[in-house]
Amino acid sequence: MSSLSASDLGARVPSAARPEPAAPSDPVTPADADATTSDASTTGTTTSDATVADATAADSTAADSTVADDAAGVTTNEAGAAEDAPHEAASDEAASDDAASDEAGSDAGSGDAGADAPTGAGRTGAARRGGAKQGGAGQGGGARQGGGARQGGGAKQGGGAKQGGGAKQGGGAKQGGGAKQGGGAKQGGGAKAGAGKQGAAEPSAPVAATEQISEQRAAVRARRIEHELPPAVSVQNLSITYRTTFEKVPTFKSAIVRLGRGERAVREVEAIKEMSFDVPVGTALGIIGANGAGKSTLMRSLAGVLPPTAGRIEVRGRISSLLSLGVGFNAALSGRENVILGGLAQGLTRAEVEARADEIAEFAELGEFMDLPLRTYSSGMGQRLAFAVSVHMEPDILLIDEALSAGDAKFKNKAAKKMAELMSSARAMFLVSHSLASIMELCNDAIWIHEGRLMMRGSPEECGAAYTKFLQVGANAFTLEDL
Amino acid sequence: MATKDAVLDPDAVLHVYEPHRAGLPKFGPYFAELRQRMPFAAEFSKAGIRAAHSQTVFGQLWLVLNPLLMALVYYILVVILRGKGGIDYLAHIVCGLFAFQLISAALGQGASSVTGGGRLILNMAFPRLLMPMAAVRTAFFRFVPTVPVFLVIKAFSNERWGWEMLLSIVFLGLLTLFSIGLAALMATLQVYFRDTSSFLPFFTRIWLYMSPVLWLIDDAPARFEKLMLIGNPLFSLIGGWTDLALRSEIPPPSVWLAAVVWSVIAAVGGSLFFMSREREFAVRI
Repeated sequence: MSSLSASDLGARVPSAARPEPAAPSDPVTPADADATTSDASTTGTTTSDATVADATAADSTAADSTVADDAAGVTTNEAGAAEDAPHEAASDEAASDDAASDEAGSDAGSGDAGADAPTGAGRTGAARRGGAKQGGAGQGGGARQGGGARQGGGAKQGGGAKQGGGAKQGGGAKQGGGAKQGGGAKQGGGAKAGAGKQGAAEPSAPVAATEQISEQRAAVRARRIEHELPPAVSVQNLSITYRTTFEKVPTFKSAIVRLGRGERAVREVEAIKEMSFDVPVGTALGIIGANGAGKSTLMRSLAGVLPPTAGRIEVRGRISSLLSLGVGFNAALSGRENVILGGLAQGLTRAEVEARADEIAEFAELGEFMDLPLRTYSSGMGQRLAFAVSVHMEPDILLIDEALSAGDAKFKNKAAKKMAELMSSARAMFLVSHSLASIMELCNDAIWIHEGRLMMRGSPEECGAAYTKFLQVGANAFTLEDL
Repeated sequence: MATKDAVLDPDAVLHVYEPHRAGLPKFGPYFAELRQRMPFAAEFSKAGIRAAHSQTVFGQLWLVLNPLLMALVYYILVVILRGKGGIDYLAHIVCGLFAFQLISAALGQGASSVTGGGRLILNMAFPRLLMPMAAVRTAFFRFVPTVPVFLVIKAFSNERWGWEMLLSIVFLGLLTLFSIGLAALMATLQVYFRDTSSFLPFFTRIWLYMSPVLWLIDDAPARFEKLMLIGNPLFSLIGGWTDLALRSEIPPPSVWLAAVVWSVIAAVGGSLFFMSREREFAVRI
């Protein structure tokens, strides 16, 4: 373990999780090694679920700066066994960093433990890694608390590893910025200044995933935007207004009553207001915005489902929409039958669907469940199948609405890879997501809309930053994940 | 086509979405897409039929059991009311009732086809007419297994077998065409008035009693016959069907004419009404 050099660590654990040079502070008691295993939710399948390391829990326990517990820890699918190894590993990790200290490394999942954990694809998607470290005495009394690093391993869409910042304790607040790590892992430094809280340093992707992500991202960024061609999609002064009646469900009776009173009970909701933008061929456009901003309405109008109230939309090419998973599925039928049904619903011909059926079945990894009725599936299995059907098309223009969150961590990783592949073959792609990380991962252009208006058009980073700033929350792990 | 070419193809099909009043879409592209998407409607309806009885003991046997039991119920009812029965009479009821159930199933399922297909409507762009058409297909394929049942019952009766029976296929086609129109009409009405499907069972029940299913055309007072011919589409449609399928008699030209006129009016009128409204469905659901 001692061979684990600092640079190795760097590759795995983004900087915020790495121990900072010592800062004076009280030495703290070793963290509780088993704080961590409690989370180990192991599924019967190959890897454990990568539940989000509970940063809030870390915050609250750390607030009194006595316990550097840290939630994260090693949880693999052999959670029990993981408990011992980390000790060693963690201390090694700590030692190898200049932060050496005898006391160091209470619990802390090690990089190795995390990396070795996964079964199956050999990817470490699901392993969680905790890296709470406490240096201290050894180095001028500077106690540090690295946050618990969760290893997301591409769990979040696009394999974007996220990292909440770790704040140094007592040492004057330092805030990790939104520095990007070379590997494509993003790091939101979200430690609150001066609060002395222990930020939960979040995930670092394992090496394999990191490389793959960076490839994905490089591919996305490298795509040439064909400005000389007519735009794939042109939205011109688009307005969409929903006219809804007051009643939730319109009935004949209320219609008669209204008729008798001579009134019309309509209420207008302006979902999109005067929006204009062009999307050249080669663009992967991320659409961000708060709930109710009009994202889904925009997507539906691009798909031709919702007619514009005013303005005009020009779309060049066949649209494939992934607006919702499992549209047209029938729960009483087997997976195989639903593949046919779902494929036809997507607009493929029967021959096309049948040609892809095996590929889809393989992608969904359902095994013998393919021949059982859909109602016997777990919800994750159903989603996996739906996702597999949806992405096995040859789209000209691809619309994706929050459809990436299917399945467990391992499948997400696979899904992200498939998305990147789809994008490279599509003329243009639109991605609606609340996860800024996946937008940054998969898109080379972005718009931010708010209450039906186009607020900004720019690079995913610019839009993301503007949006985050707009929300005044500050960039931390949560905004990257959940907004 | 290689992917790369597709990506760079500057002449890719252009779709333009513009505001519209409640008008009709362009027929050319609409029907082209309708035809192209037909396999989906077929599969959708097939899936519905397969799924319907997947957890019952009798399974697909219900496709036959259900109409048979229904025919039995009506037979008992009529025998009690009229005080006479017989296998000939049962054959008559079965013949008309099975055809009528094709219509009533198309009506009922057609009415809920659009409002019930919310997720499909909201997330996929396709000619919405597929939804009522799928409902009619379902009704039709629920009707088909009842034909042998009818033939078996007819075999025990004294009715004549003849080549004229083949002509009944024409009336079956007209019945189906008529059903498509009605299903489209009901589907549209249901979007605007959700009470439609609640009224429907009563409406169809009355319609059944007004049609020559439980009674013979000969039983009808002569003075009503002309009124019925003009006023009740099922008088000619089911009457003609029964004449051919059961009695092997070719109905008079007036019945043919009325049946054709009614089914074309229903199909064209219902579909056009549906199409003029369908782009609003996504907003209304």
